[in-house]
Amino acid sequence: MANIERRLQVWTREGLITADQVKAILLFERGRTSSNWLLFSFMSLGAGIVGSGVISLIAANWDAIPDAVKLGSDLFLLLTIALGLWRQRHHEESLSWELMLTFFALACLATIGLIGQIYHAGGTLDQALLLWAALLLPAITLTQRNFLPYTWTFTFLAAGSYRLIMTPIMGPGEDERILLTGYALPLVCALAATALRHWPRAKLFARPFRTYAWSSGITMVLLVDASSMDHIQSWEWHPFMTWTGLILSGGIVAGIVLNRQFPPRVKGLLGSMVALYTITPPIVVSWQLSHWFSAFFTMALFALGAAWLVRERSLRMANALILLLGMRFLILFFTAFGGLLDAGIGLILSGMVILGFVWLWSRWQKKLLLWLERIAPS
Amino acid sequence: MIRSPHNLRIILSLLLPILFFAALVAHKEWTLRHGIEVRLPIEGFDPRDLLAGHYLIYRINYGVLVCTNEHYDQEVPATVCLKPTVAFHSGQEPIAECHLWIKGTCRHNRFEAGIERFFIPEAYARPLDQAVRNKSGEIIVGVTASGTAMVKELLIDGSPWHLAVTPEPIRR
Repeated sequence: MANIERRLQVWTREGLITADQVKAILLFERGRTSSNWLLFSFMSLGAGIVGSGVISLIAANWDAIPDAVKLGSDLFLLLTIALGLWRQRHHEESLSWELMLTFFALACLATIGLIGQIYHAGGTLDQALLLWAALLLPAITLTQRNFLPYTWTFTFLAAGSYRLIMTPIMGPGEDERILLTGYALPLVCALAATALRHWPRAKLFARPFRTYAWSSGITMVLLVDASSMDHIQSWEWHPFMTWTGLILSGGIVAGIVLNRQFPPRVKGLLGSMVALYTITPPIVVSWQLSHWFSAFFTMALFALGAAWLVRERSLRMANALILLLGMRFLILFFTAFGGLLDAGIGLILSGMVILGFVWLWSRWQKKLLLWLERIAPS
Repeated sequence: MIRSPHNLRIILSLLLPILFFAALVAHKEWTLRHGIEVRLPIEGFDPRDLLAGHYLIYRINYGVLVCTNEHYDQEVPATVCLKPTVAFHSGQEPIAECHLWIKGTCRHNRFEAGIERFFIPEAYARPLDQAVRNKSGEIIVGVTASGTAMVKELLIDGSPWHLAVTPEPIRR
């Protein structure tokens, strides 16, 4: 909000907008931002607390109540919420619709727990969550907001990854399955986000998949980079992992190439980022690269990522990546130069190089901005 | 009114989980009612499920060594034949002579058939845990002709668990 106010002051001073327009904009923005944030924060908090309460109530396992009564009441509750949703079907934008949908999702999760408890089912928590994700997917597509798609996607990815790691179908051991899942997860999320972008009904799911692609991708790059330092983790890379990465990234690149909204330079930027991520873990882990070379891959990926995020106007995330890049740069110097004197000289030189780039930026700013405008979305 | 595609989508989306749960309960009830009852001794301890509360997790003593080979460290389908003689077999089907069997999976050298836990009320958790640790526990399972097993009852010293132990006050 403070940012908008500062900008409005500048625009008023420059005579671009009138004082009345400033008032109208401020009124609109204040109402919009505060209500949305407050509403969703309290909604998430309230839904989370109610959900935990219902699950705890079921987990207490009251033996005084017969199983048939427990199951009957539970199914009745589900039907009541479903009926309430049906009655609200003409108000899908309303908060009551969203709240009832959230309660329905939580009640379904509680039902899985209750059935498991009554019939002493041997399944695990991740299996219960995957079942919930499968059953609730159609209902969650009825939402108009981000809360449920984000929750669903996180649950699906977390439980699905855990199940894949625990199921011995890929690779010889659990360590290899963890490595493969960690490597493939950002690519799977990116592929899902690319595919869902073209499907209007699933657009609400494209955003969480994109968010988790970024967060899991950054985590994986940092872990791979950390493994190159002092051999923190003795990972073994297998060819099937590389093939998995190549197949997934092939799908993502095809999606990028076929996207008509992207100009060629944007396709080049995104394609390079996907390709660099795909080859980084195989090269760093299987060749056991030193932290020098590993740092090159990490910093190149973070630089490409930051460039893309600036284009996408995700400035906070771009800043976070630039910060990580800077930290990696510092670690590189401190690990490369043994003594403080050497490190100090190295840092001064590097700082001067960065300042030199800033000076060049200020001189070529207009040309660079014109180039960025050409690749920016219209 | 209902026939519009959007309304139909709402109905199907909401009914899918409800119908699934109803069918699951019906299937579980059918297995419980039609399964042949078998009594098996158990030993184990009491962890806690985030979703469904306290449960006893135990190792079932089938009266025969199960999943002991190194090969069974990985996930491998297996069966335990209960009648006419108790025997362990690798694979999804038992030998032809077997009349009653439980199908499951060898995982980390343990045979898992989905009957290795029993959910209990919070107040009974500690006394039941102690009783099972003392090896005085047994379970009654219902086993169908296809080898699916479901836990029907937990016995402590031959009596149903709620008669055999007294609940403890819950610490707050």
